[in-house]
Amino acid sequence: MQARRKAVIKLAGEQLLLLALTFMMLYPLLWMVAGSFKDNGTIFTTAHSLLPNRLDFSSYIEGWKGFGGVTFATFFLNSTIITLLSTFGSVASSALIAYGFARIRFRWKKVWFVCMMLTMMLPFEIIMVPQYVMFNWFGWIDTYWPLILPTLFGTPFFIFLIMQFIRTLPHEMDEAAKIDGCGKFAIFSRIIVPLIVPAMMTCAIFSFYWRWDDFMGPLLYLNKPQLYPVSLGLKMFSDPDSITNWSALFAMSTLSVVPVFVVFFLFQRYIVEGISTSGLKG
Amino acid sequence: MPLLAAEAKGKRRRKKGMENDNLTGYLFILPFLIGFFALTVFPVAMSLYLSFTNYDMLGTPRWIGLDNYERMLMDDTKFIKSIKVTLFYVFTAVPFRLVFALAIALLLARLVVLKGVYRTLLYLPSVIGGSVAVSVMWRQLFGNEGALNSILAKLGLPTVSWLGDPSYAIWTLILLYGWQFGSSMLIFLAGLKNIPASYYEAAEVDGAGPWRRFINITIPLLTPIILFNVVMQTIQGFMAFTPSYIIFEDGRPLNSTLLYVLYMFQRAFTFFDMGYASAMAWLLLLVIGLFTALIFKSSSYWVHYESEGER
Amino acid sequence: MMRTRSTFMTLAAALLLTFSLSACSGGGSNGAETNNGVAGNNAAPAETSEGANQTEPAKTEGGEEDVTLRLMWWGSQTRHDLTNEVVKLYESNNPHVKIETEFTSFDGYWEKLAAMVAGNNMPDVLQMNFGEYLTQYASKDVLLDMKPLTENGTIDVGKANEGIMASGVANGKLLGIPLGMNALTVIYDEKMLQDAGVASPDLNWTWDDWKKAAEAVHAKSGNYGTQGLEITNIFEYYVRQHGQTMYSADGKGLGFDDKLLTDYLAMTLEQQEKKTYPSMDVIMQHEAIEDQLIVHGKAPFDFRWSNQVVALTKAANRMLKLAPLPGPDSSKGMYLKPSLFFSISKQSKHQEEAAKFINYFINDAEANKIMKGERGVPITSDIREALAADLDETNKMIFDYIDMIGANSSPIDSVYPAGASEISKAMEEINEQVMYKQLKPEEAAAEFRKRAEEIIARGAE
Repeated sequence: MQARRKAVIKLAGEQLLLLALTFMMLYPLLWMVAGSFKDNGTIFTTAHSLLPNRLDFSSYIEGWKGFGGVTFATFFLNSTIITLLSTFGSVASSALIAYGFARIRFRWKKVWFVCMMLTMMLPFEIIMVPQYVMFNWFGWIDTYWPLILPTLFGTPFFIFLIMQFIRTLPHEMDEAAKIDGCGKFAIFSRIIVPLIVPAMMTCAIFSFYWRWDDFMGPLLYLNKPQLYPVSLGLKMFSDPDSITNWSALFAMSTLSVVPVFVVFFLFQRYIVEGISTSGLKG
Repeated sequence: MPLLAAEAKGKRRRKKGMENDNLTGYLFILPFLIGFFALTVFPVAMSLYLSFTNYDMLGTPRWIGLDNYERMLMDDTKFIKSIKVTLFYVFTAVPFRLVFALAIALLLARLVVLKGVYRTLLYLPSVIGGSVAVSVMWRQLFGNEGALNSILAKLGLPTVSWLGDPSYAIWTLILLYGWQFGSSMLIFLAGLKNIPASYYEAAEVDGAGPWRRFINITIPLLTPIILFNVVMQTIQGFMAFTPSYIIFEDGRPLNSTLLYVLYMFQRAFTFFDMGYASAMAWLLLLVIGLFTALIFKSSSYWVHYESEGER
Repeated sequence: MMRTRSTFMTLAAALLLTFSLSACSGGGSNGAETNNGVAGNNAAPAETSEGANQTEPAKTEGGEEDVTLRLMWWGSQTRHDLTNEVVKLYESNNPHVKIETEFTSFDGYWEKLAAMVAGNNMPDVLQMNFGEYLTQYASKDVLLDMKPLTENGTIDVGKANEGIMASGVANGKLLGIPLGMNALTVIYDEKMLQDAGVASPDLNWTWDDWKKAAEAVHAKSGNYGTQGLEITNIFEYYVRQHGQTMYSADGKGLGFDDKLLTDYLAMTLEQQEKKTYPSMDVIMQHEAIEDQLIVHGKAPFDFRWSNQVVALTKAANRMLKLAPLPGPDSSKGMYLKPSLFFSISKQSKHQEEAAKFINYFINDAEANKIMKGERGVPITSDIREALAADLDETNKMIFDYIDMIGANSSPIDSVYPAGASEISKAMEEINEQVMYKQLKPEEAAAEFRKRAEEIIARGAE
């Protein structure tokens, strides 16, 4: 009885703490959602208030219309194409590369690893002009190639992340599989991949969000608004000199968070209810 | 195709009883090598070349040798300022975010009720990170009559001019960085779940309490993930500039929020000084590289790999 | 379950590899040649056509050649919608012309344009800014000199304001056709001033009147007496009203005495100390146009460009009024500024057609009725008159204001040294240092001169 009460108090305390924390963390997001229901004129004059004075979806309708006849339906579709293709490619190839770096001994491995790490340390803004020139040469401007293709060669962040996960796995499993007569690739696909599903899902979530949110890449490489993703669409609401349609901007920002939210919600269970533990036991 | 070939090769190899790791290894990292040589090397090499030139992006680069580097180190006070700001930022914001993310991850990992919901909600701040809405919001939150100050006032604490006081402005950025702890949290969560439950069960049988289990199992087995987070967050911390850009625009007040990459961006695209900006980027690469190398060097003392033999 | 997953992965990985292999062989061989692309982009006309002609069908039809023009601008939702409407109208009037519109946000526009220049992939017609940007592009010889096109009447500027046309000239070439006119203005809240017993500003008001009004409002209501002044624009006006210029006529130095900067800084500092002028944190909290102090009824004055008045009044949701900047001699200081330009790329293969479109854009009444002065008050009197009937209250006030300034102003100074944007930044920093009392006004003026001259000297190298 005593223990039970203690458990209840602990649970209540935990929930209370989390609730408070979550509210604090989400305050800006809630503010944005509230703003999407407010009248454009009153966003700043009622900035302190979280509750909109009306429940009006007109800013959603207004925002969805997009720009010059290109609606957000187009932007969302484009974002989905770019994001799905590059996420899938990036995670699959990163896992492959990560296994190579984490589990196989080969000559100059350290050199390549260092090269890979170094590519993360140059700001994109510095290489973007030469990169533009190069992709322009390939004839890739105004296509999705510059946005998708590079991701198919692995993303250093993901490679390193998956590497670290592979390295937490006991080595005996590889050995056991080797004795069973498996080649390296079979070990990778049958033993390692199921075990690193949480890591791969983590990467998928990140990749989805990063691609979804990427602004500079699409801005540089896409010229036709019909090809723009959501991230470019959102920026087009505001201009330093003229009227910014804030409520439409907030409305579309809210919508643009939804897919990221859904993807996270669906995928996060694979991270935490990972197959890893069962895999280890079996 | 190449992979199938690799498998076939593997079979042959086994028959001969010979190890040929070079080939397999290179086959696995082949995608990286292709991407590296076909897409990365040229822009990177080009930016290195540009760092020795006077280049405004519109005209032809003019070779000036080490002039950019010399000017940077000898007589650019803003450059020195930006280094100070960035080092302070990295050494406060990164630990702050990591500790916070780990604490939340630990809290979430043991949660039973509504865990998926909390995980998702707590990840969300990272998702709206760089948007315009956040910049507007953040200014409202940290303004003189903003939410934060009214809380401070209610608690009877002195209020602070978060945006206007040069000694506090950087803290708003540090808080913003900490606020976006979602990705680190997620990685920690995945790492925590990767620790085999059997280890804990065994420890419990041995009579280890929660604290001992945390110190003896969780932390050591999490070290590879901690290493990852420390390395990546350090790199990202050095490269951070969006938060400063969207809230303080030009590093105001008094350049107290002038992060290195923000200044680099300013030089490149506001002042049309791409050669100089490239030089800044390469110096940054050296500095981050050095820090990363140090972290990796130190890792042999504190990072524990289950797969010890393979390094 | 696990089995299917791994088979799937194997397949995907195999696909991936084959794909990446075939994709890279093409890329690798091109890499070396690309080198020239960056290094010598101006000297390589052969490559130019590579990038530009992808979109151009070369078929002829009924005498007139079919052309595709690329048109690029930045802006907000209204500008995107209206400009696209004008483009559609133009296409229907000129069936042989197809215009591909490439519109973006202001954020990133210049980065993108710089990359396009480096890659020899510029659009035919593009939106350009006055000042540092035009100067920068002018020095690189990537924009077309449109003087011949205005002389042969392709672009008719006969009815345009002469002073404003001169602003598009850099290095003796006409590189930008102004799309509208702006002027600096003081936006004021008449009621706040009345409540404090202050007269509204008129053509002859002075900085002293401004100070007195600000102090009266502050004393009466505790509100601020004014918005924080953006030093770069306001100080340029201040210099001009004292008969001097920001930069010397040859662009090789500053054109004003240190005393002017000292006086100006001392004046704003004094106001800040009297609390009629907001401190830095307040200024930073209210960045967006729609969030300015005057919108919230917290200050009676706001200094800015006339084209921003629409956004401001809309957010304030009440009528505000306009006055020229404080005198004495405000007509020496005031000037009409081009809001935006259209420029033609030197690489464009359809310069004539591009010019025809620009001509239509500035001279066609129907087109301008669609645009409703979104890019500033139209530069020709004909168009202004054509629009007059349809204007709403705010826009009517702005048009009237521009007319009034047109008669009470002096030509714009369009000499900018290379590095002007860095000098502007230096001025903002100096201003901050004064406001934070790290520098005294006279020290700040000396420091600014030193830094500005260094930057100019470096630019001249």
